[in-house]
Amino acid sequence: MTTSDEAPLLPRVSSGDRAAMQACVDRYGSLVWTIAIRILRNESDADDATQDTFLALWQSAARFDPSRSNERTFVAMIARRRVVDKKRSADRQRREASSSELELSKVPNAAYEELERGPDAQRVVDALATLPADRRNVLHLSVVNGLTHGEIAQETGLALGTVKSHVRRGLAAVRELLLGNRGSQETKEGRLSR
Amino acid sequence: MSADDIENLENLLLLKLERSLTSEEETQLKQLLERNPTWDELSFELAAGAVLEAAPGQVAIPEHVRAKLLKLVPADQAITPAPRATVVRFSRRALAGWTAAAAASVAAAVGWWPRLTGQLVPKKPPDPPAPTIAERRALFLLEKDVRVLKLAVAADPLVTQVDGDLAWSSEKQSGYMRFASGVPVNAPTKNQYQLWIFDRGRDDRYPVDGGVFDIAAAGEQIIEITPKVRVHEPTLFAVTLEPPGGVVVSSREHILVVAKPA
Repeated sequence: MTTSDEAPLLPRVSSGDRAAMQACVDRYGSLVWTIAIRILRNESDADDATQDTFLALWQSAARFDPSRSNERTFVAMIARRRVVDKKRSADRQRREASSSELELSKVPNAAYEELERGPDAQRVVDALATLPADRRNVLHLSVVNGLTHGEIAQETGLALGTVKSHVRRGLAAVRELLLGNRGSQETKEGRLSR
Repeated sequence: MSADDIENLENLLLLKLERSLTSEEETQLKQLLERNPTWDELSFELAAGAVLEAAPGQVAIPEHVRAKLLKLVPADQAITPAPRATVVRFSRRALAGWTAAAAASVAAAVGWWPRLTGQLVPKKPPDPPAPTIAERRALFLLEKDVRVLKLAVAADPLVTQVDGDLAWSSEKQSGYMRFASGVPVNAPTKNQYQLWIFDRGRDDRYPVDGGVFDIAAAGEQIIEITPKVRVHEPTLFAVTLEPPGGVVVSSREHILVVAKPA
């Protein structure tokens, strides 16, 4: 569902509005949780990362700039930072531990549902659909599953340079789409399909 | 900007998504960004956020996690906002107009206007107030390698409940402790709190002194952490109660609060 009409909460959060902070949890809790559980694949770590994300979000709410992105994208960006930090820390611990018990646990059974999305989401989905399948797949593994470029190279058999190139070009394409959505002239350059 | 420049810029931003850049890479990135103002450090991070937002099959947050988040909402005081980000873009025509207007203003200020009025040029407006510690912490939390750890009680009866967090950046070698509640106000003439940072590879008997501090009042207190010695990889942060001025080696009689990296 697209919710382009939802009023942003972060400006209210930045002025200390506690009701807006609570509303943030309800509006973005599932988005943040999804990012965390997909990348971390462990409920306890995802729980911690979700809390870290909201703490960071409330503290940095004033940095949200609606001319750059919609609020949901900004929240996802903050969540990715915190979750990736958590993953690096967990990976380091795992490398240091010798026990095989620390292998990645499976994603726990959870209620998958189609949750609310921001106004750019469908356009991003459509744009991603135009990318070559390899590039789309690699971008998904990198951003959504949180794999490192080296892990993706191992997983897919692609050369590391090719993986980096796919992720770079995929992100550049999405960036241009976002700029285009906000009135930039750059979309006229038609770099989306490069 | 050349195609090579754009590719270099994209590669550096991509690298930055995976790890902290070296100082050389940071310098190169800064130079490239200066040459192309349509890009900035968040360009790829926001794009990644948009991909995450668009990914299908979202998972509903478990109720117990949601309940924990709601408990994190400050109970009795507003958070201090970080300075608002402002991105202002002008068209060339607008810039030309502003430039002409600015030039006219300068000419008026330094030229005929003071002579006509016999008044001095208005004084420079006062500098904005220095940011509060809460504002500095809020900005600090935006740094990429900052880890935020929850504070937990140790086994000392002086502190049986604590609410707060500790943010640390290995890159900056600094951090902030935020005590929301639980750690009592101390009398600095009788005792003070001292932070210790246990560092991987360093003898646990001699943790890094993270500094002495006071809890001056009830309510949220934020303490800046600036250890004098480099911390390589913190394995535990611990707050002890010590005589005024702190100690070189703690007897660890009162270990009150800890924060442990995952």
